[in-house]
Amino acid sequence: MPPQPDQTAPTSYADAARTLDVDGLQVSVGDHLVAVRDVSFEVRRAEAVGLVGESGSGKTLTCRSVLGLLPESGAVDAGRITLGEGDRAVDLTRARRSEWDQVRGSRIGAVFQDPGSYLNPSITVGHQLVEQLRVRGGLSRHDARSRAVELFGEVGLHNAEDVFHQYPHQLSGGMLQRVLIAIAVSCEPELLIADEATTALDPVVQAEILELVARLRKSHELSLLLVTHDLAVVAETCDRILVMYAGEIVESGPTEAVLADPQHPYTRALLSVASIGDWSRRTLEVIPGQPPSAGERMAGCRFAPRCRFATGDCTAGPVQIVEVAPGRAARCLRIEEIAAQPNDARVEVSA
Amino acid sequence: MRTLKALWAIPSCRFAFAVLGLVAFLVVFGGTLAPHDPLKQYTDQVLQGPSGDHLLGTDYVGRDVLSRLMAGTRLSVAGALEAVAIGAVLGIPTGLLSAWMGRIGEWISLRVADTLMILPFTVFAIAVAGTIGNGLQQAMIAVGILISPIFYRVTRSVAMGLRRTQYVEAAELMGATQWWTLRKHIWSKVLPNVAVAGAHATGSSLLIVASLSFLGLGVQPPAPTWGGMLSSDLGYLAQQSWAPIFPALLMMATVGSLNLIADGIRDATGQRRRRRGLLSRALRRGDDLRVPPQRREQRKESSDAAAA
Amino acid sequence: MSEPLLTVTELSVTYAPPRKGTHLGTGAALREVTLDVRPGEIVGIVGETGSGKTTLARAAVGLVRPAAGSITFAGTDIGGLRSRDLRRFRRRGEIQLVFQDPLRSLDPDLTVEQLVAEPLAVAGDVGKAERRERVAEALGLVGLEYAELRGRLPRQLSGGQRQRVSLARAIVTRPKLLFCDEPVSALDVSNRNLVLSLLDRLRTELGLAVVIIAHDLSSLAGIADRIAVFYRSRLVELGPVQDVLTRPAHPYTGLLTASAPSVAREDRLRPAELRRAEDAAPWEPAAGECVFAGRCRFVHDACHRQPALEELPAHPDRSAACHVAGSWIDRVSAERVDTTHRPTTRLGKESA
Repeated sequence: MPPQPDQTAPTSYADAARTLDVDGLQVSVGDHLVAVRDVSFEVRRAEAVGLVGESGSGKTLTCRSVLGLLPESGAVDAGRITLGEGDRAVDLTRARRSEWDQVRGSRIGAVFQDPGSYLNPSITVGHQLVEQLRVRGGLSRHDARSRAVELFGEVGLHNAEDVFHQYPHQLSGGMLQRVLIAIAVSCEPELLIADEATTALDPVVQAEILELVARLRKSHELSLLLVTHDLAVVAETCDRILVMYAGEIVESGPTEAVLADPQHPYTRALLSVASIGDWSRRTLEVIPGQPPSAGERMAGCRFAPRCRFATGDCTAGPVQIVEVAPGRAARCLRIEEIAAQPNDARVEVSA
Repeated sequence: MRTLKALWAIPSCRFAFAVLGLVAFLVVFGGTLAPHDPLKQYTDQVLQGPSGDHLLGTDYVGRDVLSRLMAGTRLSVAGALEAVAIGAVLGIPTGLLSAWMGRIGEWISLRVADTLMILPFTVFAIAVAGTIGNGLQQAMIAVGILISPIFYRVTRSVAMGLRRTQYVEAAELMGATQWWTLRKHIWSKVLPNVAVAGAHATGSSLLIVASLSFLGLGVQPPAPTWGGMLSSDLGYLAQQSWAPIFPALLMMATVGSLNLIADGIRDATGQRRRRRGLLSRALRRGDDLRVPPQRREQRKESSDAAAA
Repeated sequence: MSEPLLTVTELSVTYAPPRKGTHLGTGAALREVTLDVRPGEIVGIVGETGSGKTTLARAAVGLVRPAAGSITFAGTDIGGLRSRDLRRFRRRGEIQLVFQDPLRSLDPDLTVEQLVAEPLAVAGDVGKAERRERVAEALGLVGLEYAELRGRLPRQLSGGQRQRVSLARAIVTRPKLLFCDEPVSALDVSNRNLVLSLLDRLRTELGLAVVIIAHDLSSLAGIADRIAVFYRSRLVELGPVQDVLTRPAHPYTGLLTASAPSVAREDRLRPAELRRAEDAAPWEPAAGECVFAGRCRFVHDACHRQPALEELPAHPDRSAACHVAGSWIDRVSAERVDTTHRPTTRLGKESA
């Protein structure tokens, strides 16, 4: 079936209910190293938000704080993470065990990079889904079983009946990821978090999984927080994009707008090295330098040492994230000056 | 060297080294420094409590306990070390070879190791003593043979794990001989594991030496050993209930220190992480989010952060 | 055109039949693969996990033995070498394999200097002073500072540095051919292009032929000259990289290029256009049938026979193993004209 031109205007989510609200999040790891600072964003109902960054940018810590799964040495120092709105609002930063138990798996589903390690190798995948449905969903044995088969069909596993009786080692990586997605959405969560969920997969399977997630998002009105290092994956799946660098959000906005006209020099640089789908491009751009190590103290802009637009002002003091257009924000002092410069990496997007 | 330095940084290991240093000192100088002749019987002072003359008292024939402890160190410790050395010499090369020996050699060596492991050591030691005579050397050979499977298994499991690693394969691709691979890549990974096994084995063979002398095997009376003293003291519990404490304490301190060092080696060579993983898993067991946290990456992140 | 450096002819590799009780091992790992690599060229190899890409590399360096066919490197039949000759050949270091994960392929207890020097030390024909010189030179070529890094252990390096150390270790023997197994898949975007452009530079500076195994098409598009596409242990398409990617001849290549995520949304193939209809009769290809038949939209009776890799009529430098090579893409374009042309947005693509 040919694709539908269902390009929803990005602003249409602005009045949808808020699923997740992260406000001023600061996470430190180890010996008071601030690895994530001043991270604020929200995910609306049925909206897909992509969190992009390289390893060490704090994207995984951010999504783990939402799941309450920070490493032992990590802690949320400041900020607030709220799930849901109104009566159903839960402050996750202050949640206790019992509250987490009611949230994780039921209201937030999650899938990760290595699906095989999240399944019990000695229990059939069907049984593992049934268990989830019975414990969380409170279904009877019989109902859980038929619902499980149904869910397996829904996530695109052919021969759902056969898959039900198989053990994780009998399934391929793509199939395991589908099983995990089935488990994650089995209790009708509001939010699905995918942390590099397609990174290890072949491109064909990756495209299928991304399509599946997009379909589930529509049919279940699911909000999606997609964490990845691959700008192209976000471009394909997300309504809004958050670019993280060295623990901070440096740019945010509707995917199309950000990619067509990046405001922050890091987003520009990232675009120039990302796969833009142009097979005849023969230049390999390189972002000079290395990102600062997690928690490194820097007075000003954290990208300044690698930025060709940086001036003395940039390193003088903290740079605040400012709104540059409705729904768009960037953490840069020289947006106007940079916008005047030609950008080779700017991607032409058909309007 | 790196491991030793790391060991020294652990307080409990420093303490253990101090204890072992003292024991080593006693091994060398214990006999000469002993205030009395360990074999001299003060027949008029049988079963005395601690006094100015005999700091730890005297035993059932009036020998000075302190002197016997000091002089006995050499035989006890030397015996244990001898047994461990024999075990290591027998176990380590066979363990390494078994990973490359081919199926038949592997099968034979495994069965031999299994057989040795199920032999009850006292019976075996008695049998050895019966065939080649009773004495410290003979007993230690018996003990050495019996503990060699420990070394065999440890070495073999590490070597088996390494045989398929990529850096061993990479070495093969460079045209390296097996000897080169063994020397450059395998040995450095086997060594810490063997050291841990060795520390444990030394501890347990100390106890074996003691229990063998307790049975009258190995060292022959009246030569003093810790085990022998313990056994004779136990016969006079009614008269001197505290007497077995001294040899027992010395043995406990030595064995305990060896175990502390074994733990230290494990920590220093990075096997601790696995333990911490287990602990954290136990602590976090209630976290039954359908999809558990990705520990590997988590650990990587935190260690990256720690490195920063 | 120069003489090929490496010639792979009708190569088949089989793994031992699966043991009782396990489901691993499918028998054939490579079937009738014919491919050559010329000096100074970069050949990219793509395909799914388990499609035989890595097996080809392992066979080419003599880690697995061919069941049939031959691998010839500069006149030497690698598949026929036995223990001592193989070792002697390897010590010359003319073919090198760079493993995917440097953390696993570099011994964690050796320093950078020891690691890079190891191939020379194994060969044993280079003196200590010269060895040090060669190590410094190799590290310099990959853009690393010898004096600064020589004493570091692999875990004290960043991911990009580690990958470059394993490259340095491969080029220290001055090889003629370099196999890189997923050299960038573990790296961040900023380091990814750094390593790729490094490979490109090594090729020009050292006249090295490079074979890059990857699952990420975009990284190959940037540097490869030719690309070989593998599917289920068969080579299904081979040709100049841009031709193959922009106008694929095999439906699997088409599916691959259509599935690659990209930032721009230009008019190009979409995965949905190439997928088999949901209601189509399932076809599990038996032996001798086209390996892609089970997933191919353009499958027909001829596909009961596996097509050989043949030159495309219009393009002598390209070849594909498909009965409808080249013609299916016109069918897709024709369908597009039929349905009213819409602005192609890949965001809302739907298959249901």
